[in-house]
Amino acid sequence: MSRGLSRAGLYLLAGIIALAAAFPFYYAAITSLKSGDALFSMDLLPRQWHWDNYVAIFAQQPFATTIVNSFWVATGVVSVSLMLGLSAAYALSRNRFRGRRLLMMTILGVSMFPQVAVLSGMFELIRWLGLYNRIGGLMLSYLIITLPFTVWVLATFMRRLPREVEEAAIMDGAGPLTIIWRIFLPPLMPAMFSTGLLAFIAAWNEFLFALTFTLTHEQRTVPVAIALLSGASEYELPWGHIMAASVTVTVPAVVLVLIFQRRIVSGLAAGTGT
Amino acid sequence: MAEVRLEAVCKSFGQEAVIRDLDLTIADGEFCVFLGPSGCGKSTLLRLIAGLADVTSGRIRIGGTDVTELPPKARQVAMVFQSYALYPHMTAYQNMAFGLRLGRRGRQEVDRRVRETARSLHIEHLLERRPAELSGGQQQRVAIGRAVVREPRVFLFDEPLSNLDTDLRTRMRAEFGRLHGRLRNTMVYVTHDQTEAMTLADRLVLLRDGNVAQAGPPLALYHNPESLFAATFLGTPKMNLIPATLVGAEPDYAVLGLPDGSHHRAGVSAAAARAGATVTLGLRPEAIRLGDQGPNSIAGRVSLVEHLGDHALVHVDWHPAAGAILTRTQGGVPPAPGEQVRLSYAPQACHLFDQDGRAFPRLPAERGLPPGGSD
Repeated sequence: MSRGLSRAGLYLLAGIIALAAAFPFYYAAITSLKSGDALFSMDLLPRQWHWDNYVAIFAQQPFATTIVNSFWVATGVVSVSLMLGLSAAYALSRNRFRGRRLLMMTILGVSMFPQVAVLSGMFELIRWLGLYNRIGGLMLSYLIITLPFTVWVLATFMRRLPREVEEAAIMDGAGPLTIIWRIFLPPLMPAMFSTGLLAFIAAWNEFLFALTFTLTHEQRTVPVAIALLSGASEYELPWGHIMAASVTVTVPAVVLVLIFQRRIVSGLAAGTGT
Repeated sequence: MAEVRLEAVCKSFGQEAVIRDLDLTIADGEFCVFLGPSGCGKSTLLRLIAGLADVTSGRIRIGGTDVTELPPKARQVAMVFQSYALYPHMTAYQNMAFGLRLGRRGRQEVDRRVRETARSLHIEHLLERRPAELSGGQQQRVAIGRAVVREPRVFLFDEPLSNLDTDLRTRMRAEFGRLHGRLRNTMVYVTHDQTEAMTLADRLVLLRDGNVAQAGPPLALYHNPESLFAATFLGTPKMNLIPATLVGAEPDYAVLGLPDGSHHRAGVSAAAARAGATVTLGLRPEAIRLGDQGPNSIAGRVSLVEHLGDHALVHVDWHPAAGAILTRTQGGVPPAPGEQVRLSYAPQACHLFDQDGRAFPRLPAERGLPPGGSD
C-alpha cells in the first residue's frame, strides 16, 4: 500500500517537473502557429495552423544565413574545444609537473567570471586581432566558456585510464600524439560526445558576446537575430515571428541530443566507474 | 640478444633513494629474476632498464650500447605488465600488431609475424577478440605475444603472474620457462614470489633496500646464503633461527652453546670470530629430523602439527628463551600435539650468522648432506 503510494508520488513529482520543463517550449510552439489577435488569447491547443510566421522570418530577413553562421560557429567551437581539451587533459592528467594543480584551478577559476566582466577586455582583444564582426571572433570568445569544462571533464575521464596501458604504448614506440589519438581517444569517445554536445549547445545559445562582437545582419548568430527581430512599428513586438524563430533553432539541438543520447548516457555511466 | 649492464645506478624520488649505487651484469640469454620484499626497488629497477624511468645517476648498457639517454623504443626491449595493459578497444591481433605498425613494417610482414607468434603461443583462435572477451590467462598470453612479436633484445616481465589464480599461475610459470628455452633471449623477471624465482631463474638477484643483497644461481642462494636476510627470505617455511654463543672454533667445525646449556657442533668455519660471541644458528625445517641421532639433539614438546598431505609441519616448543622450532617430516606418522620428542640435525645442515647477520662460510660436507651450490 505505502509502496504504491510512494510510487504514485514519484510519478506525480516526475510529471510536474516534466511539465514545468516542457510547457514553455510547447507554448512557444503553439504561439508560433497563431497570427494577429489570436496571439494574445490564452489557448492550450492550437485553434488554427498558420505557417505565415515561419515563412515571414525567412522571407523578411537573412534568417537562413544566421542559422548557417550559428552552425559554423558552434561546430568550430566544438572541434577546437575537443582538440585542445583532449591534449590539455592528457598533459594535466597523465603528467606530474610543478604548478599542475594551480593550472587546473586557474582553468576552473576562469569559468567562474561572469561574461560581462571579461566583455570589454575581450572586445579589445578581438578588435586587435581584426576579428570584430567576424564569426572567427565569436569562436575565439566562446572558447573561454567551453574550454574549462571540456578540459576538466576529459581530464577526469582520462585519469581513470590505467597508467600501464599508456606505458605499454610507450614501450611499443608510441609518442604522445599517437597515445592520445590511438590509445586514449577510443575509450574516451562517450566523454567526447557529452562534452562536445554541451559545448555545441553553449555556443549555439550564447547571446552577450554574439551581440557585442557583431554588427551586421550577415554576421549575426541565431540568439541575436531573434532578439533583434522587429515588427511593423517600433511599438510592436512580433511575438509570432519570435516564437517561430525560436522553435526553428531549438530543433537542431533537440535532434542532436536524440542522436547522441545513447552515447551520452553510456558516457555518464562510464564516468561513475561502472 | 644482448647483455644488460647496470653501472653505479642510483634512483631517487625526491629525497628518497630507491636504488643505491647498484652494479649488476645480466649475461646474454640469461633468465634473471629480481626477487625481494615490497619496496626493495625491484620494479623501479625494471622500469629503469625499460626506459620508463630515468636514472638519477649511473649508466645502463644493453648489448654494449649506452642506452641511459635513449627513449624506450630505441632500446629494443619489450615489457609485460602485471595488469597485462592490453589496449582495451583493440582486438588481440591489433594489440600485437600495434608496435609493428608504428615501426612502419609492411602490412604483410606484420601479418606474418603476428600469426607466427600467435601460433607459437596457441592463441590463434583468440586473435579477433577484444581483451574484455578473454580470460585472465588468455590476456596474459596476448600480452606475452605483444612482447614476443616485436623480437626485442631483452624481455622485461613485471610480476606477470601475480593477477592469476594459483592453478593458472603454476601452468603459466612453466610456460615462461618454455618460452625462455625456445627464444633464448635475455629475460629480466620481477617477482615477490620465491617459488617463481627459484624455478625460473638462471640467476637470482635478491634485492634489499635498493641494492643487491646476493646474486647467483637459485640453489647457491638457497644453500649458501651470505646473510640472515637471504637465509630467511628464501625457503618456505622459513629457516629456524636459534640464538647461540660461540664456544669454540675448530678448523672443520664450530662448537655452539645453545640456550638450554647443551653444546652442539656446526659445520661452519667460525675462526674469524672470537669465543663467546653471540651468534645465530639457522636450521631449515627440512634439515631437522625427529629422533635422537648424532651429536646435535634437542628435547621439546610438540605444540602444533600441520598436515599437508605428503608432509607435515611439526612445531616444537623447547626452551623459553628461543622460539618454537618448526620441522618438516616426510612420511611416517607425525607425533601428536603434547607429545615429548627429540629433534636432531647434522652439523653440515647448520647455517651460522654473526651479530650483523653475515654468514660464516659453510664447510663442504665430506659425506651425507648435499654440499650446496658453489658460488
